[in-house]
Amino acid sequence: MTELSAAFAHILTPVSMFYVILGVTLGITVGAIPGLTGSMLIALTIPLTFYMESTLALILLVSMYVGAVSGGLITASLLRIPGTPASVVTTFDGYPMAKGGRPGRAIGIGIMSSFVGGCISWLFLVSLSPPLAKIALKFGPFELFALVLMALVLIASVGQGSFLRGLISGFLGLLVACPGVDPVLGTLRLDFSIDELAGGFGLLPVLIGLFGISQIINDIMEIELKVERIPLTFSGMFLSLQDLKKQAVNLIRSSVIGTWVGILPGIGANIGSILAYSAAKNSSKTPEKFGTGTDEGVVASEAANNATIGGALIPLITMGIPGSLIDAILLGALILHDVTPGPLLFRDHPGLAYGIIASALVANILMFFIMLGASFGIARLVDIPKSYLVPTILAFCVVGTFALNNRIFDVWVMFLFGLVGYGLERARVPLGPFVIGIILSPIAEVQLRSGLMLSGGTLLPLVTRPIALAFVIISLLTLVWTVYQEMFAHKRNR
Amino acid sequence: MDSKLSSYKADMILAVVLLAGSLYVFWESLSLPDSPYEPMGPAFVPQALCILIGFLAIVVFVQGIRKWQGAMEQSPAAAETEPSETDDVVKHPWLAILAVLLMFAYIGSMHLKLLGFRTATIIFILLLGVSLVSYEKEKVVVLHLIILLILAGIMGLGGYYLFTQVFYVNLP
Repeated sequence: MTELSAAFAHILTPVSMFYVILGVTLGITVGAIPGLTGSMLIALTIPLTFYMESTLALILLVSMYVGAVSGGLITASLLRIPGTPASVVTTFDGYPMAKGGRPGRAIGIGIMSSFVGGCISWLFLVSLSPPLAKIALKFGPFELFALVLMALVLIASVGQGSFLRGLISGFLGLLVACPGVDPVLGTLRLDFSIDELAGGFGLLPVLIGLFGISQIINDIMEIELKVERIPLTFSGMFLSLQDLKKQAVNLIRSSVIGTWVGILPGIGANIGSILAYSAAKNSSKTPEKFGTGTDEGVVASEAANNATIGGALIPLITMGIPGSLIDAILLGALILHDVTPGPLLFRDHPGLAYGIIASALVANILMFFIMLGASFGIARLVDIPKSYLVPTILAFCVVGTFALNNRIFDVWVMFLFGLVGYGLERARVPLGPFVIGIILSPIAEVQLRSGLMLSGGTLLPLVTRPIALAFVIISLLTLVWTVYQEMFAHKRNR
Repeated sequence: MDSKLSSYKADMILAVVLLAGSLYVFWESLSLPDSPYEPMGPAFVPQALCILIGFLAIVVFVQGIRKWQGAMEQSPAAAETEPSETDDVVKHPWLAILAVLLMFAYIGSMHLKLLGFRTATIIFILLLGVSLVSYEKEKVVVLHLIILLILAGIMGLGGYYLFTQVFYVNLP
């Protein structure tokens, strides 16, 4: 508790608060603009944080995370275009509510739900993280390898697109991380006679390419996409206690669902909000009203997607396993700042670990006030022409990537993976497993090879050690269930 | 162009690219030495992944062919009229290709030291911006050019100052 208090004391200083406000505001703004995503913002900001102290850098990035997930509510409700993938489900009821003459209520309910969801998941984050970190210290190489395997299978099966394509994406990501120095022997591997590849493909150039360049190419393809924005009004924006009482059960249920979905490695906010929405609809006395602008739909979606933030931070800071795509990028930030993510984070960098926890709450509180105050202005930002935004962002991608290591090679890597990312999405191969694969490949390989050295070359500990066995069983069950569902759906379509 | 058939072509192209890529990487990994200290060695993981990706690529290819055959066995007209999910959005592939080429030239000019960061960035933003404005607004007017010039100046000159003087990065 003293470390947590110290973390709060550190955050409540002018410099830290400046970064929290900046991060939340930028996150909300970017989250609200269709075509820009929180992952893009965070990936582009990481090179700039190289010159910052690591705790301040993570405070800024976590604040952006909170803002970005929340900001998508604005365009989801007023334009029926989710500003971020996390807000897709909010369009189901947020937009009809706004179109039906209650735009203020759609935004107000969404902001309140986001705030409550974020707070409830924060309670899980602060109470589960320290004990989980202690349990994770007992993980051996086979447990960690099995955990990574489970993360890949989960994201391939639950993410967008077919399971087959999800697996391809995950394996590709694992393969892309192979060039460079062999993590066990230290010899050069798959450098294709390119000197710069001795260090492998840089993680951040790959991320900026995948999330920045590929998204921009898509935006250029649809440059003429015109949107009609519903004007926002104050009317109905502030909820009464009566409203809150009516939605209390839905709020808590959706927040818990979002938190636990967030904890599952590799799965993000959009899945959390889908599951919470389904649960709310199934439990509702008026399920037929879902999709027409009902309060319950907006509450479920927004509470859950913000709750995934706290949940997803749990595996990140306790085990070094990203709980979502954005957490995968945050992992990159930790590595850039010379911090080894994993169970030792709490022991070796307690200030940083608790700083992340504290910033999640403070950012959530500030998000509430900033969204309430700035929604009007932010809603107008969608009117900024893409023809001004796109060249600026591209130039920023180039300079930001170059700044990492002062190498033009990294810029070429970013460019290449931008094209690869666009091509993969056109082929309906999701990018999520690809990123998780790149991030987790070194961990998976090192743990597997270390484990085999310890066990004398046998994989038996994967089934004889209980925690490893549990992860393997979950992976196999998910694999079998997903394949069965896809085959069943295929036969039904015939 | 009928949307359903084009998705099968995408499947087949994906499969061929993945198969070719995985074969190449597998071939490259054959020259990696074994490890005297552990059973796996540096080549195991890349080779295993190449085999898995190659196998999945073949599955995608076979699926693509089956779907294509199935669609052709029904009336080709039915296949042609199946709408794609983005049919209501006008797409500009040539504009995207132009943007990619401009970006290639932007990075290439700095790599080959033909242009410095400031000049290359200003030219890039102006050229790309004008191309995009002509599609988004249908007509490029002086106001658009002024705004683009300001943006180009901010990114080119302002960005150069920020990164060289504040962050101490040696830009090209």
